[in-house]
Amino acid sequence: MTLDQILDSLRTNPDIASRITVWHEIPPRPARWAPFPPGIDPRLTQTLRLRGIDTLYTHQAEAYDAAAGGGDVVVVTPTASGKTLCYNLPVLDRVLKEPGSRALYLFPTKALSADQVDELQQLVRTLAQVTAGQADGSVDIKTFTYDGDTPASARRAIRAAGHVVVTNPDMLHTAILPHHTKWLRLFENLRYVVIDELHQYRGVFGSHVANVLRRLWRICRFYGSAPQVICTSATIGNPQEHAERLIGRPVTLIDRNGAPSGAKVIAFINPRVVNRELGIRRDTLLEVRDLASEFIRNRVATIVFARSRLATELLTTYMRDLARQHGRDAETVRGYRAGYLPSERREIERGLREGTVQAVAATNALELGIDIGQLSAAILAGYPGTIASTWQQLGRAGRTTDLSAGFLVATSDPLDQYIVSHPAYFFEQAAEQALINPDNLLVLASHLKCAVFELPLPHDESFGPTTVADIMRHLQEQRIVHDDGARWHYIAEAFPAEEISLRAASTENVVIIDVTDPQPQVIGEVDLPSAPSLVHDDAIYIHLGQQYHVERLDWEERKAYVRRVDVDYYTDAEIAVRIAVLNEAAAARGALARAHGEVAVTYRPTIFKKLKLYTQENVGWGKINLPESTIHTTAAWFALPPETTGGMNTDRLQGALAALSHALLNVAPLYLMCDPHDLGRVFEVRSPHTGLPTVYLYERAPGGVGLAERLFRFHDYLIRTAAGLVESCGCTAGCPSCVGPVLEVGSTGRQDCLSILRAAQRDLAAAAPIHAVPAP
Amino acid sequence: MPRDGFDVRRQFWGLNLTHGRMPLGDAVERGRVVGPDGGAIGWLDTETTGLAGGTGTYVFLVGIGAIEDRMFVVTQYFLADLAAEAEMLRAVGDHLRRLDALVTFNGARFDLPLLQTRFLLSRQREYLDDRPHLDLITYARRLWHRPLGGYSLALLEQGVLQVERGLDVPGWLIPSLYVQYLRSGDRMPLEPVFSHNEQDLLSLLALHGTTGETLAQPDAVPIIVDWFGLGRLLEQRGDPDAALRCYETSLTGESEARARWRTALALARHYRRRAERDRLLALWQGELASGVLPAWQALERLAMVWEWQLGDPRRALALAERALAQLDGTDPRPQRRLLQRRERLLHRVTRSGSARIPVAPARTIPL
Repeated sequence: MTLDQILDSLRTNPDIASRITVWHEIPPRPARWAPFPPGIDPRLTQTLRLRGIDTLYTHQAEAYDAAAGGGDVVVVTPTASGKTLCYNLPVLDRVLKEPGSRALYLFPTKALSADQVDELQQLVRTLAQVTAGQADGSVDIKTFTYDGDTPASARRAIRAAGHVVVTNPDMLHTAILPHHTKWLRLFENLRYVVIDELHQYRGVFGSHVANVLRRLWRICRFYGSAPQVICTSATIGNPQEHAERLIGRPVTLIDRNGAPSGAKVIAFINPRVVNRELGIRRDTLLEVRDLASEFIRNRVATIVFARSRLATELLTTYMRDLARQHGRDAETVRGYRAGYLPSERREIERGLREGTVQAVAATNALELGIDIGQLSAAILAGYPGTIASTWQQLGRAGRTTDLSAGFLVATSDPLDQYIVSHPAYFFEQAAEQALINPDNLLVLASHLKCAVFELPLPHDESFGPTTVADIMRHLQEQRIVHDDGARWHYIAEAFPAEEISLRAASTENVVIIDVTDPQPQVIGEVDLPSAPSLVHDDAIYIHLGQQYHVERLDWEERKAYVRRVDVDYYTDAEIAVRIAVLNEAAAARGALARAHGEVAVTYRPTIFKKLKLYTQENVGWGKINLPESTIHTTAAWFALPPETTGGMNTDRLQGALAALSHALLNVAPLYLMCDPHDLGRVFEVRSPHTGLPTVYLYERAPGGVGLAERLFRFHDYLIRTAAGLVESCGCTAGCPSCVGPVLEVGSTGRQDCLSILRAAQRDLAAAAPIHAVPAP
Repeated sequence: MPRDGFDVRRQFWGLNLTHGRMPLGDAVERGRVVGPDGGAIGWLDTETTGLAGGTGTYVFLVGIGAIEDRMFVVTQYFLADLAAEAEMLRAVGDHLRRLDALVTFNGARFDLPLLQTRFLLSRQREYLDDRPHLDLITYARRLWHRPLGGYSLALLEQGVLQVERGLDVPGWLIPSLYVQYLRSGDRMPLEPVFSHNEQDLLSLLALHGTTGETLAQPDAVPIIVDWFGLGRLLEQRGDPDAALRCYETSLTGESEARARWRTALALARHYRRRAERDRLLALWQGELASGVLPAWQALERLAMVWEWQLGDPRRALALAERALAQLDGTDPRPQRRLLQRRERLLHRVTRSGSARIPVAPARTIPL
């Protein structure tokens, strides 16, 4: 059967059709071409022609023109639309016209940079051939990757001679900027900085990277260069705003894609309910397996995305079995996830491009711009968490001319259920906004230390839009900097960049040491805030599928000693969370009064439960003896005035608040490009701050990255969506897909939550801000 | 707080003054054997705000020793105010340009790159890479690492230079003393740092002299030395006879297998080059008898000697067989090597029409 016929049979099979909540057809779109811009170096156009590129897509030509005009650019491109040419073209053109000029390429991950360098090097090789016999002489453009794997012997050559240096923000932060004098040639001649996969730089990571870039601009100014920036991004809600916040300058947005695409079908599938009471549906992975079966049987090139490594492995096993059942070679089905060796990954990618691999089960490790050619079908086992990455994963199936199909198979999670039962939301809503907060005090202070290490900081110099005198005076008290009357100088002995990780808000870790063998071995680490719940004494810690019993957590030394075990239970720690409002930034009245501001969140580990695997049966418990920890962060909170809670007793109120916080927390990621775990929830029957029953959603990252403020500003949507989620849920008195299980919210929780949300919706129009919300 | 930018101190030492084992004048003369070339030599040592390197480490004290008017003159440039760094570096740059070459201890990795960074940061294009430079740490490592168990300047002073340091500030404390000075403006606590730097320069000169003495008179070295390391240095300097004598001395009493192996290999190389077949044979027979090296190693070498130098494949074959029988350890490479050798020797023995081929190890053949 062809893909067309398979799709027909899915729709006509009543059993399957009943589980399809939406069938969305996207018509084919022709390519929009643009000629090579006249200014482009003829040697480069000749090179492109030799590589089979006779004309550009409109967005590629627009990107070239914008860059040639001297501005900074962000190009928003879907998968496989010729993104790399958008930056390789202006960069190579410049190097041809000014042979001394240099470019710096930043990629968020190593795998991705390997792929893109490969493509660039092919262009460069052709260019060398084209120019070999010409009067101006052969053009030899040197591109190098500079990362943790670069041998020390090669580093000197790269520093001196690389035209294009490909690296990641972490290397820029710890290896290049602090030693910028060794990179004199690069910084003096830097004309372009390319930032690929811009949307990856969000949250805490993005806030750090924004500051690394502030440091980069500072060093460039010192060497007299002013590089232009070309960014590329997958579709997000605010590409221009995000790029501008990240690089600190206005950018030109190019988002009209000129690449063609074939017709495409997108369908959402909701597995049937197996337990109505508990709101449990048939296992998503089994549903995916059944769906994949037809594709594998008919040799339709298929990619399946799973949300965890474990699910990826399970799906790989299922699909290899399917292949054997259908008389196909099991080797045509492969898994792909982080943790595979780079060589294995390259082999699978090649197999996909060349067609020797017919089906692959992957984590989002394949979602990034790694070139695997074009597949015909994509199946998502569960909502990936954001609209943006859903489109990216669905985009893995898509051909320039032929039909393709994408399926989203829902799990029982609230977000999944909301998306599949409100498909219009998905298709009409712009993708989430990527948020960063470059001025997060902790992040800013960390990078100021690095900045002053790199160059003394004059009193009147600003760092980003921020004045920094207060922070510098604080660093002076800690004897990290010295004020000579006009400039601050770094005077501490430590190397500051090494203490600061870009990928975590907290720089402190607990090291996990396996003492099973005579020779103790470090097997991993957890960040300090997670340690009390994951590696407390007697916890079962799971690492790479192996269980470990925590013998001792040495809190002072930040070390957990563990021993390999094989037990039939896991542990679940209970952490009591307290919240105190420190400062209210903005507030608004209403049936659900709301505010946001700074808070102190205190975690106190209390007890842990031992739960049997599979049955979740409680088989014991223990106390956790660890100190409390407090973080300062930001939160949005919602208070219920008496007219809303009218006459509920405390128990009932508890249930209503639990239900409300559960629903709000679960829909929040629909508006914020964040993981549900980036936010926490607390509720108080009577808040010392508001004097009312109050629900808090707080940011787990110390200092916050701007999620809380967005929640406050998106209040209307948040309430409407939460109400929609609860209303449309098929359960009777609450389930994990809407307000949480009945055991947690009580028999009235669901109903009370819904009344509160409806009341809030009714007076949305009436509520007026008390004082203005500060502009972002 | 007084702000007087940077200041320069000069201290004068008579060349007849003895620091450690010899007068300073002698150290200057004997040091010439080691280099560097050039008439005006500067001995350089810096004190810094940290050891991490990178752009955020300041050089707050640059000490340069040089011979002026038959005196050893130590000039110290001190950064009294961080704001005056560029000014101070200009003065240092002027001084360096009056010199033909530099001598340091670990300068190649530490002092010079750091100074280079400071010059670039203050926009002064002073290129230290281009200047003749002798880093004595490479000599110290070769000559004294094994006997002293390290080669820091402090260890060398005790074990080789015979320098007594009086009250001295430990190196790790120096950055924080400077930071303290920056806050208080009180220069008193820094006085020990100035004399530490001075002492370092005097010891640097003494080390230069002692290294020169050791290389110039390898047969009459009055101090402890790693003979193998000395041999290697002499070999590099084109004195194979002296090197050979050092290796021979080194072998006597060497009881550590790896060091002994290294030395025996170096000796064997020399004997081969001089076609001294008897001494070559005696060397490996001696090694077989001494029992420090695994027997198979000596036997394999003996097999090589009999095969190539003495041209007796039968004897070589017998020795290869013995080596195979004595093999220990888990490394598969020697076995593969020996099997190949046996194969080849078997061929040669049969082709040359010799009598029967010994199949089993012939243990009775006298060496």
